[in-house]
Amino acid sequence: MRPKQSFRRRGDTRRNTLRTMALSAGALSGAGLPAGALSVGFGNGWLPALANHAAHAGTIDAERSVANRVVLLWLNGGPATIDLWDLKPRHANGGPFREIMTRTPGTRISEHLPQLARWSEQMAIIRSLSSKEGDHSRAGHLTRRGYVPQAGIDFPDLGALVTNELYPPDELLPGYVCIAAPRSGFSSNGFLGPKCAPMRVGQGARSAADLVVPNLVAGPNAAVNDAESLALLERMNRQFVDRHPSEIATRYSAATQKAIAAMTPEAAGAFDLSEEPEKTRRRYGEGLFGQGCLLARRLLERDVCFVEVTLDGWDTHSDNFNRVKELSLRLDTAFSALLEDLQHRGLLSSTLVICMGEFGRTPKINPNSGRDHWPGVWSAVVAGGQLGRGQLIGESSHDGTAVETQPYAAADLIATVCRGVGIDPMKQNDSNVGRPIRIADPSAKLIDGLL
Amino acid sequence: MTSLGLSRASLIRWVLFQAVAVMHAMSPSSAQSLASTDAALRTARQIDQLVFHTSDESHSPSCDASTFHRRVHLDAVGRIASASVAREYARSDSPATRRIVIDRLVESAACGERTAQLLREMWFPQTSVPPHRYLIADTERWIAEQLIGGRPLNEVARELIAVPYAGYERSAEIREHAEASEGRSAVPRVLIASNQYQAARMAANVTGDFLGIDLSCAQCHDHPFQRWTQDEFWATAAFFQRLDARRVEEAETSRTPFASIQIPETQRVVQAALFTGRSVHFEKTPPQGPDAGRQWFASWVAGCENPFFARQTVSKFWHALIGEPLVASSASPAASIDPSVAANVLDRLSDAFVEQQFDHRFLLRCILSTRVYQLSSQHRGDSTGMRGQLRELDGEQLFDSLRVASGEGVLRNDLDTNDELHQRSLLCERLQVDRSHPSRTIGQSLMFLNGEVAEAFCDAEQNATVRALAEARFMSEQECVAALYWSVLNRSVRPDEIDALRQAGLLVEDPPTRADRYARVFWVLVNTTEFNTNY
Repeated sequence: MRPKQSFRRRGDTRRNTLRTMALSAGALSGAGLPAGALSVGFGNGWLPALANHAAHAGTIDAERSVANRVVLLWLNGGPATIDLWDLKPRHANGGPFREIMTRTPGTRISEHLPQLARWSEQMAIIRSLSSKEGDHSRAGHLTRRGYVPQAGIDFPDLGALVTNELYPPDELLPGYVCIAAPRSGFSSNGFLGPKCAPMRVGQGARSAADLVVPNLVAGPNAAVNDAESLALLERMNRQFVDRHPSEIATRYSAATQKAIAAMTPEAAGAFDLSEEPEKTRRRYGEGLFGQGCLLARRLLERDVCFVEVTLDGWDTHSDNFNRVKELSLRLDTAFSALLEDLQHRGLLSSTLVICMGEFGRTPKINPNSGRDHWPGVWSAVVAGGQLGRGQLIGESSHDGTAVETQPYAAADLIATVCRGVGIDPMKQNDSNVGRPIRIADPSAKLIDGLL
Repeated sequence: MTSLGLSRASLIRWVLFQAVAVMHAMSPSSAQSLASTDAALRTARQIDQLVFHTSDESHSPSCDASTFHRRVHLDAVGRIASASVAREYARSDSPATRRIVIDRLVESAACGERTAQLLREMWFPQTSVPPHRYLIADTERWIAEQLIGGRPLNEVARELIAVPYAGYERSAEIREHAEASEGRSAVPRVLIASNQYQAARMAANVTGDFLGIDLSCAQCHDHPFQRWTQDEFWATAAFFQRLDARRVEEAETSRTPFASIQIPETQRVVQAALFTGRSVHFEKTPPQGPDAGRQWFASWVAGCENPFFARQTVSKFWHALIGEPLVASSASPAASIDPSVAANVLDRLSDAFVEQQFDHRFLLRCILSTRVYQLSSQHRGDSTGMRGQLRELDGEQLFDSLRVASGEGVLRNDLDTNDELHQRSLLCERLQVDRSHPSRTIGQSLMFLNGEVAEAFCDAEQNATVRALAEARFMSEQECVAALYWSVLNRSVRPDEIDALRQAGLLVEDPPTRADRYARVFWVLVNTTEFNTNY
């Protein structure tokens, strides 16, 4: 059953509806349609002008807040972006991979990403990210949370930050879902509390069959399937809250009810990939990552506002090229399927897709045909959400070792993504150490050309 | 019935209880604890007098026996009582028996372990989050060892702050120190490791968490709202700066053996100086060595002249046990006690804590014995008067209480397998609470409803309590269900609850289905908000 469109986000207003329509018209204009099509009704007619007027009659945030969903495709291990998005074929550091053209003049990417090459007009490739963190844990912390680890501060990652700002707390599904994380503690709500905690699907999974929410489905004889027991529990909790009226008692009782509701077919069905046609499942690729991206699409349709899908295996200290080739195939299939599917369902303009890892890899190839950690310069991709429009932002040096132009930090990307979904990156949240902490590092700057 | 109107059984129980108390009191080793108990009770009365003298006490009812005993068990030893103990305490409840219960719990090794957890969270909050969680086990184990051995809290703090770096242990001074403390575990280097060997971080940690003085905002600039300056922060950090070999040699002939430190991104160099403005003085010879500054600062923290350590410790213990702070801060909401009364309570309790030589057992006895602690958290219809605060249970309290409720003993480091201990550790980590955002994630709730908790503790075959009751054919259905309530909730089952259980088909005369039905009742009870909170 296809879920009905939800207009819950920011209590849908006439302004939002008209803005979405205008921007959809803009998207159509960039999708390679014949020029003549633009003059009929949508492209040059009165509707976009009216919608734009309404859309811009407001705050800066209203102007920026196009997307309201985010997908993070997390390439775990530090992907060799020099072999994905920023190849150096005329240098010894380039390795055996060739570049291919994309739909965007001047933009070339790896030959092993042919499907994504057709989506270049919906993507922005940032080739000048840089940091000083070459350790997986510290770099992951910096890239996902925008801050280096600081003693005692439990920083939330981007998913929790976005959920905290955008997602109503009383929804049936959690606002933040983390798919196929390689281990526990990978994603975190930090000091933002349980309402922003990620629901973990398939943590440590080895195959698509493992893409399940732990404990969500009960066996036939489980206590949670017994209506009498549930009624008894609900009665006891209600009486307890009556006797001990307090925020804690109310929240705990509500948390139990919410978990019970999450086990109902309506909610649990969101995670059931068997509802998808075989053709769709094959289009995404039947491996863990592909099916994880398909699950992400299902959740986005149900207004989950941040979904993260991990593709592990990018820590290619040896045999880099064979492994990256294989991983590229999976990435290319699933990422392009996701973009296509989102566009087909009218969700691409409202969904920001980020594709990145914790750092890049050494331009110089080591004796094991591998590449080692290299935070000095690396790339990330942003697609959809009206931010991806075929841009190439920043350059690396001819040998791929350093940033040449437009250097950016992880915090800059986080700040820009936040602005892209209408969040003020300088907003402060109370931290677990009593100090207010801004969503993005105060030194963060917006990425030119992305917004 | 005896002439006193008591049943024979009740009278026998009361006599036995009093006999145990007398034997305990006559034991030579308990003389010190008796003195501490007396002092604690005196101070508790003074606290109550301060808190309640301006309010009408009839509007602030105390909690009932079952609630008190459950609450004090969870706070003192980190788990509920067994069914038999809970039932016994409820039957023989009186002010005197409550005092005996408090004494017994506070003197126990389990209390030392529970307090060690509290102190670790209090002193090194950074170890509760990655990447420093690996330091938790050793830190808590060492602190518990000191507390069970009766070491004063200020001395425990001093050792943790002054802990040497690894290389320094080879020096003669440290060898002597090690011999003097033969038989004790090595002091964990949690201060150094969790602050990444950085002087500024160690300074912020010690002043903020041991003393309650937040200098950290002045690290980069003069504090925007409080009086602390950037120079004062870095002068404090200078105590934690390690001296290199050349500086150590110079310091031996210098009047100021401590490091100076250059404030980052400036040309200013500051000498080590107390943020109180008082001058640094040495009783005998100045301390020497690369960590002389930190060792001196540690001694100052632990000294009686410094009022901050006692006040911070009292404030944190009060918050942990009462559920609200004595002093409001940016991290804690305002207390329900009048601020001027709270200030007086803090003064009185801090002075008493110092007088009792920083004895943690005195502090626990005192707070647990107050009427403030024993207030009911129930709403009684009128809105006036103070009320006890509901608190979440942390992962350790939940796990250990589940073990007790299901008839298993609490896991012990010296008896149980590494596998079992590791499982406990994993489950506790997943059930961790965020006290600034009291609630539970969907995943945590699912663990109880349909996951690891339900599987491990609510299975009819694996739950010893359920198995025993199912096989106790000499007990009626109602008696068995009552026993379940005592086991899990540490209270008697109410008549309306009996009716509800009957309506749910869980209280029927059907022996073959006892195990399944009792397992189901157990599942309901451990999923209640009542079980999962400390009220």
